[in-house]
Amino acid sequence: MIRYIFQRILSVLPTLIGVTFVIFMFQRLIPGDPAIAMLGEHATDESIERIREQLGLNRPLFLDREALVDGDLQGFFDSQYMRYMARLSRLDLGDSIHRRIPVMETLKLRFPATVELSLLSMIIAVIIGIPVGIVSASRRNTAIDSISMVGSLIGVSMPIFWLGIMEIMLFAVILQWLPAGARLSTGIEIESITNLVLIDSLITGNMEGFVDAISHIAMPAVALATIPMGIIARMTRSSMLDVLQEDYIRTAKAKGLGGRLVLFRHALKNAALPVVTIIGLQAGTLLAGAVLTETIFSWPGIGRWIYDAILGRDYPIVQGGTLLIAIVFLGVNFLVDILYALLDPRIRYK
Amino acid sequence: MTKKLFYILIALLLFSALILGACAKEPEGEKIPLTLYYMPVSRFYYPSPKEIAEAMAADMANAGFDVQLELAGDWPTYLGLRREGNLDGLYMLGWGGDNGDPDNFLNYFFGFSGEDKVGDDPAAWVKSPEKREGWYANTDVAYLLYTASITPDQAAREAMYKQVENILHDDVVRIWVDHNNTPLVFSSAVSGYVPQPVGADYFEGVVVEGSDTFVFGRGGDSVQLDPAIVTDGESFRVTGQVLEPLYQYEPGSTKPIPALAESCTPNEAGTEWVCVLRQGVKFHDGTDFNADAVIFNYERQRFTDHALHFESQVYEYYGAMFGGFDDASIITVVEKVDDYTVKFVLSEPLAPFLANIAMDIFAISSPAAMEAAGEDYGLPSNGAVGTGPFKFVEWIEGDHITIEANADYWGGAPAVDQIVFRVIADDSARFLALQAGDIQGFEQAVVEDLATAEAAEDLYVLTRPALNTGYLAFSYKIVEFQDVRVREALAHAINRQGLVDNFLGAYGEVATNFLPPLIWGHDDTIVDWEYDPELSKQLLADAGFPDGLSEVTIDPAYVTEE
Amino acid sequence: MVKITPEEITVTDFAVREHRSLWGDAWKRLLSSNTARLGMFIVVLFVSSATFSHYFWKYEPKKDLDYSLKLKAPIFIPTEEIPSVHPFGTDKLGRDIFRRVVHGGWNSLRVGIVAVGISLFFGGTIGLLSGFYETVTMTTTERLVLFGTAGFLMGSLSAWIADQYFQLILYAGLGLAAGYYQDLFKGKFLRMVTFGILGALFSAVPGLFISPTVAVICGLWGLLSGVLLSRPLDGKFFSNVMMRLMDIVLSFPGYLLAIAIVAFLGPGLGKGMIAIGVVGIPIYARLTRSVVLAIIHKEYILAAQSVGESHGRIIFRHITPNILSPIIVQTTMGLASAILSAAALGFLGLGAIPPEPEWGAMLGESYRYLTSGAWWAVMFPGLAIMLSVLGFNLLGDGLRDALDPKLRT
Repeated sequence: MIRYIFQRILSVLPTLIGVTFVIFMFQRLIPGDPAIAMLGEHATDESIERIREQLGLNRPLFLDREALVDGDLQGFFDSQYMRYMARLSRLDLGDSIHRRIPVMETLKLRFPATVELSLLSMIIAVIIGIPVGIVSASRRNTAIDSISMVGSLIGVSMPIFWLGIMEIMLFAVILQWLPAGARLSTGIEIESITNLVLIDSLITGNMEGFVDAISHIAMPAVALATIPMGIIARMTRSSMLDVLQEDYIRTAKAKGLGGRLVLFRHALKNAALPVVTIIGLQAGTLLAGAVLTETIFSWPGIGRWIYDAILGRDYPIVQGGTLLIAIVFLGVNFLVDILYALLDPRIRYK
Repeated sequence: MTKKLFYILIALLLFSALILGACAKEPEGEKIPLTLYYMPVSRFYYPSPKEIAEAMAADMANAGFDVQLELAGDWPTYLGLRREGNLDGLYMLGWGGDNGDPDNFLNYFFGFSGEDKVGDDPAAWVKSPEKREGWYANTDVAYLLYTASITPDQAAREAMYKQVENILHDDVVRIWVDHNNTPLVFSSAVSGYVPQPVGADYFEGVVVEGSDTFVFGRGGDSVQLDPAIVTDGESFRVTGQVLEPLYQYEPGSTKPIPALAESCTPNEAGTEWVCVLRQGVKFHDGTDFNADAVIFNYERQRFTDHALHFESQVYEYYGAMFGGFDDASIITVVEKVDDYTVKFVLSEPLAPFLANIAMDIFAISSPAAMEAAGEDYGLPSNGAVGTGPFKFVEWIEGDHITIEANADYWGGAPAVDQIVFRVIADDSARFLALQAGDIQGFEQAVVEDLATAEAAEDLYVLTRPALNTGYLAFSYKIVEFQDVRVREALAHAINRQGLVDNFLGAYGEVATNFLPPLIWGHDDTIVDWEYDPELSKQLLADAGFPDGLSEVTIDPAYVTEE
Repeated sequence: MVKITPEEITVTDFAVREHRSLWGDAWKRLLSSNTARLGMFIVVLFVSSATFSHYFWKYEPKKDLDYSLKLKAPIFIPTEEIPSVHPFGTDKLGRDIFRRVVHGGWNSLRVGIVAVGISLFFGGTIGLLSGFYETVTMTTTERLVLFGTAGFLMGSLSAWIADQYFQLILYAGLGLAAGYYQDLFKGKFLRMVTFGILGALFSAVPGLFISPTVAVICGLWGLLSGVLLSRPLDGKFFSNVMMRLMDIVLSFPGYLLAIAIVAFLGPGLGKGMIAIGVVGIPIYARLTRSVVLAIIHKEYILAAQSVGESHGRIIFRHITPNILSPIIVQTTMGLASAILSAAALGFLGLGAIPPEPEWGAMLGESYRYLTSGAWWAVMFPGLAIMLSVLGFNLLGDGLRDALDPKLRT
């Protein structure tokens, strides 16, 4: 097992390095000069030049061939990418260009908001998706099956930004039950322990805060949950159907075991593997969907923040934020791989 | 085998030819599509720029102009392209007045720049089109504006500004589109808010029924809280509460009244101003406000080698208001007469001097705090330290800024204990937040929501008087636009009244001058371009485009080497 | 147990079963499924309405403006006040939303098709080649191409450093030689040394003309390249490299990468197509590779190999037709997700250039009027997105059931 984990880590590493490379590249490819973005429209050419020097933007991207021609070996490697990697290795994501706040600090503040939203969405998706899938599979080709499968397909097909807008229209504009945006009402204070307001308010026994937080997170979480919910329901159904056709299920049934027992004791456990994988893959969908959901619900997470930074050419934010998302995505899928291997020992020996 | 290799080679060649072809630059003087650049952000003069651009383009299309809309990047990029004269075509932009003086509108765009002022004789200066906005250069206009700026007599100045307005109108230099009385919506629990035509609004009179906190919603975050180096209203909105200049604008008007100074009086020639400062005022950090603090603040902006004048910071307004930095500055000396008296010595009379020093940009920060924070003064980690009615508390980037009442304020402690400025980017989301009670007031609403707000019992609307102008500019780099008939054809093509009615409702008005009617120097006698597509087509045909205009040419004479 | 209904028995009764092709079979099964029929109906509806309106119902978005019709609720019967019919209402500029939704379909479908085309072409090629060469030994020519390209790519660094682009030819030649003389010297070590020295010489000697440091660095790089090239690179290596690249692209959340690409290229339909297409490449590459791997050991492939058919012929004649069904299913579903991504880009203001109608952009433009009660301006473009995506998903689902013989009962 440990050997397997080690192998997996080894195979993730090159991907990670590739990811830093791509992140670095696409920042530099986006048109617009961060120095101008930083200084504003009326900056003089000299001050722009000086800032470029300060930020290291006047260095070549990867390697400096001129320095090498002059015999300067250190200068050869002193490039933007190498500096970036050196900073990364110290866990320094740099300061944002416009307000010079360490990206790490803002990430610590904003990432929990995205995590909270994504986690809750995932919980909703799993709690609804898996039972729907099981029921569909056990009642195959009935009306219930068709309805829930078309329903989950609608979920998969849902433009979440549209669903979010419709939710706002119904619950915030017409019924006025729920607030249309933000994470908490102004004036509500929740002591931060984990930075996940739902959990913090529960720990500190702040019921008013908890209710407020729930009312704020409800709409975005439901909107974000639709696509994974549909996917999980469909995956559960098909993998249950696969398992139900296996010989050992037939045997169990032939032995006279009750349908429900067979379903839960034997089939579900074996059908769990693909479902777990698909849940892991949804982590990416959730983080990506966060850009749209956070835009609509003014949610103070990292999705919207990164989007704004891309448009505002705030490179350190884009780099730091995207890197974090990519790492989380790779990490979740790494965990899924391990879990998979635990559930199914055959994989380890492949 | 050789055959296969041959095919692969051919494919590779074709592929690289394709890429090379795509990368090849168009030769100069080439036809480009007629383009209208629209702003990436909404501003009070253009509340929904994309839709406004679509409407303008449709009007133009119906008069024979086949316009292509283009988004040139985010706001700083857009402004940068404009500054470099690289928005090749038509583009939307606007201007909001900073101090209520016509100079602040006209001279900024049409006056001499520092580089134009070659030699000692102003009459011999030549305005160069190079890199000026829209490549428009009119030496006569620039000279008029210069003369007006050094003339102390207001009536004489007014006549000159009217003359400039007439030249700009007859020449169709820009198409002036609208002025907007920016609406602010409040919950009826709030009273005492005074929207200012220029400068930051007054918050110290605000009373919120049943709450000691006032939450104000706004569309964007502040850029920085060091007013000397910012230009955006969202920064001044906060710094205006924390810091004060020597003069400020009278509530609800553009008239400068004393603030940190008790009085400022000029000598006969208008080249020296003596300011008597208010005594017993302390900065929020406990240090004293005195003549040294004033001198420190002004010198820090003026001298590029000052220890706190950093390379990464752009002191845009100082340069624009006082002629330049170091030796180019019109303020030659800020002299300490005694602890509470300073004297400003000017190199030439400056008519709008009082209006200038009342700008939020020239608010006085605590020198001790600035020295302690260094380059980070005004950033979220430090905030700003001044003498104002409120103290900086915290700034969570992109979310909110909190300030609290200054109990020791010389003008008396403000009514509310705390003000929170919350960022809610979307106009309609801000309205929803107000309805839900999450915020108690906000600026800039969708015009349809304003009707709802006016009808609602628990809401009311205030307006900020329209000291702004939205316009459509031409790049004179385009050969076709150098013909006044084409520019006039465009002016007659756009239904500006329809545009104003649709997007601004009763709050907006069609612009006939660059100067809004509220600013002296506005000329009521100018006859506006009428909306007349037929006349527009006629003019376009006269200019040699009977079939309309869809492609334009870049004048090679205006293309500078990179 | 699955219940077998009497109709199904007649269908699967071999005695009376007429001869039908595989595709005919699938078509029959597709038609027999309710959900697939629904999907097909929606897809045909959207495709035909978009196509017909594009060619026969002229619409000039650039001239469309009527302030008097600003934000009118859906109206079916003309009145004196509004003398026209607007089943979906009008937007802020008084434009008919029905018309814009229908014409917007043309843009959305185009984006979907081109984007999927890009992903399918590149992803499919990568997947096909990776899957194929992972199991099948390369011929000498193929190996030479692989080695030559590898050498060429490695040489580009050295050539750039020394600013001597003829080095590319030297490196490519080194690669070719390494590929050709793969059996040179029995001992791996000796071969490694030989090619390492060769590589070092190839780039260090020309580098000397520039400066000694350049020569040293280029020499080191040449040594490294030579050593790598001396190793028996094969299809597995190629496949590994490709799949790692795909992993990297996959580890970015889709929208963010697409947004970044559009931010780089600038907004516009064409650029949106490229962005969405690029983001989709790895999905097709992985899928194609896995299906190729699943059939590569089938008897008919082995048979074709044993009679000495060329690799190209095997790939095109035997593999491609047999992996088509999962690809078709994925393509249909991919169309759905491409339309969804395009709408998301449009919603964020990075899609079609206004005033060109596009569903996501229409939503993004109109949702600020929601608070003033203009629900129709966001309802209908959103419904169009949802329904068209649903249509392709239903169809894809039906196709999977119809094409996957495993599920045959």
